[in-house]
Amino acid sequence: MSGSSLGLIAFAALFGLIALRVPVAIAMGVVGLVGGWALNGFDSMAFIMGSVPFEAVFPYSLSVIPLFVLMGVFAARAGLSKSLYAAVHAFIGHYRGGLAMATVGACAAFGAICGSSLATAATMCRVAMPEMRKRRYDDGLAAATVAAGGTLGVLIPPSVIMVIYAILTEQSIGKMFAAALIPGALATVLYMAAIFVQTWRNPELGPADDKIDWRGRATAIKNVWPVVALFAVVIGGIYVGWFSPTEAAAIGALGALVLAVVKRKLTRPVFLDCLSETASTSGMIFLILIGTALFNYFVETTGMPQALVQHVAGLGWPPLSILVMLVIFYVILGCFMDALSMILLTLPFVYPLVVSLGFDPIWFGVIMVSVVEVGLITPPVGMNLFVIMAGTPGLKLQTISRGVVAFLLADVTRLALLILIPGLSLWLPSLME
Amino acid sequence: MQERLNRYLLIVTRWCAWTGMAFLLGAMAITAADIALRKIDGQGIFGAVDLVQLMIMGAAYLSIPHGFMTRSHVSVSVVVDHFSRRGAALSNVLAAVLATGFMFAIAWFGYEQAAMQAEYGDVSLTLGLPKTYYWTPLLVGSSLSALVCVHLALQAAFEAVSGRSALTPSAAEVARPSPSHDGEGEP
Repeated sequence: MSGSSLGLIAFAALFGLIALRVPVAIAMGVVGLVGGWALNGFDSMAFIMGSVPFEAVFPYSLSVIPLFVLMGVFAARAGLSKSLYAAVHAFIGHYRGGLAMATVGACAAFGAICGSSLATAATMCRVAMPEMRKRRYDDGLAAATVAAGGTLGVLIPPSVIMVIYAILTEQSIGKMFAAALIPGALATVLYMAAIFVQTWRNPELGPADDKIDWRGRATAIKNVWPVVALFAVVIGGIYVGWFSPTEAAAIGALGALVLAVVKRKLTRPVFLDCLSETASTSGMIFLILIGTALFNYFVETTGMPQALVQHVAGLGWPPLSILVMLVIFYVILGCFMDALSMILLTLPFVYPLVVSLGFDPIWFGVIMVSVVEVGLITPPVGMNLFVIMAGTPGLKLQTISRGVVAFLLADVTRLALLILIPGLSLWLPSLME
Repeated sequence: MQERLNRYLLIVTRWCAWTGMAFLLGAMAITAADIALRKIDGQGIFGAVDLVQLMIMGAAYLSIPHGFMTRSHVSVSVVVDHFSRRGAALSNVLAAVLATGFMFAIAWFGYEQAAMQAEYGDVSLTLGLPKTYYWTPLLVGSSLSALVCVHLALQAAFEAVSGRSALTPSAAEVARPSPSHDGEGEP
């Protein structure tokens, strides 16, 4: 049996196992293991199994992942979200839909120190949903705002998924972060525009709140300086070359820990809870990296990625149309799989293809992360939707699904802009040369 | 019996994960101190990279068993959600058996590789730490994960055969991970 045929069978088996609720990491690892055995024999498989699980975790560059996770967990527990929400609300809360726009702004700011979509959505849900419900905001708009705003945690640096993409494709993490800054800001503005249009068409969806005077605004701004400082040190430090990404992550985690201590939020049970949460997330990510490493090793030996690149090149289609098809493929896949699994599963094929088409890997990375985050708010497995539902009593999936449509349109607009204007992603990294 | 084993494994994996997180805090502290010292005397901590790599090996592998115990490892439920209770339990048996085999294979072949490196006297680049230090968390974490997966397979098999859970609702609740939340809200 040829390598490509075996690769196709392996893919079918992989999707079958994933559909049967086998953890994605285990499915990839087992298929990689068995496939490698079938293709290269037992001795080769034994050597790979003895070395790859070690090498998949050992590189120094990977230490950035759990450190950013730790930073996000401490930031989520430090009580920063309420201050952020109050600060943005002080400026735009008096407009129609202003509370929802403030939620998006606070999500963006929180995402700038968190790096996780789920943590951003879960944290902001607790702060923003009760406020919006109190002011008689439509449940669909309110919940969808938090769910969509949560996705900014993935796009706005530091982002764990972006780090993983950069490591796997051997790109600069600092450049990836710089590339995502403008798209992150664009996403924030477009989400706010989606809220503006909805409340302009139907004012009852988001009634205006009382205006806050300048003294109140000054007080609110004063409370968010730690967040601004932390973001400036971590991302600014990488951008101007003070720190490597690993060092920035360590400083960020330490800074978030200090903030949580200073704000008196870090009791012993909360601290242990933080450690458990970081362990669960880090363990999950590292196991996926191990499974991916084994699977990728097998896939490379089948020669499938090269065959795919040759096949697509033979079609003679314009590169942009292939890219658009990839984007559509990811949006559909995102309805059924989580972001990290999607990236890790498809990258061995898609990355060589994208590079062969002449696209910039950093630019594609931003597009890929933007696309997979859309999956976080698309039913039936949009994780952010479930996080919001879990934190909001009485909220139905239909209600929140209805609300996310406008935000999905904003996502489509943003993706189109990012594809048509690569400078949106590539201008800031070009300044780092 | 199952419930008691579940409780013990939960405690062991939790402490194992906390140990891993202590390593992670160590990596954070070493890196931060290294930066500070480099700014002060231009030297930094000798062998900081070796130490951080060791800490991250510990953090990663000692966290994985906790992920199994709290069902935090990513899986897709879209299809299995439509199965009957017994069908879903059978699917869980398959997942746990495969996970057992995979984690056992990592431990088994990892042990062979670690023993070989120990025999050759392999050490880290800067500090000259024996490579067995780096292998220890891998072997502990993967072995404990395999044990946890055997337990999960037995639990799922019990449910598949009897049609009811091996754990009481309160015990099952304890095993679930807590969602992220802000310090200002309720715990």
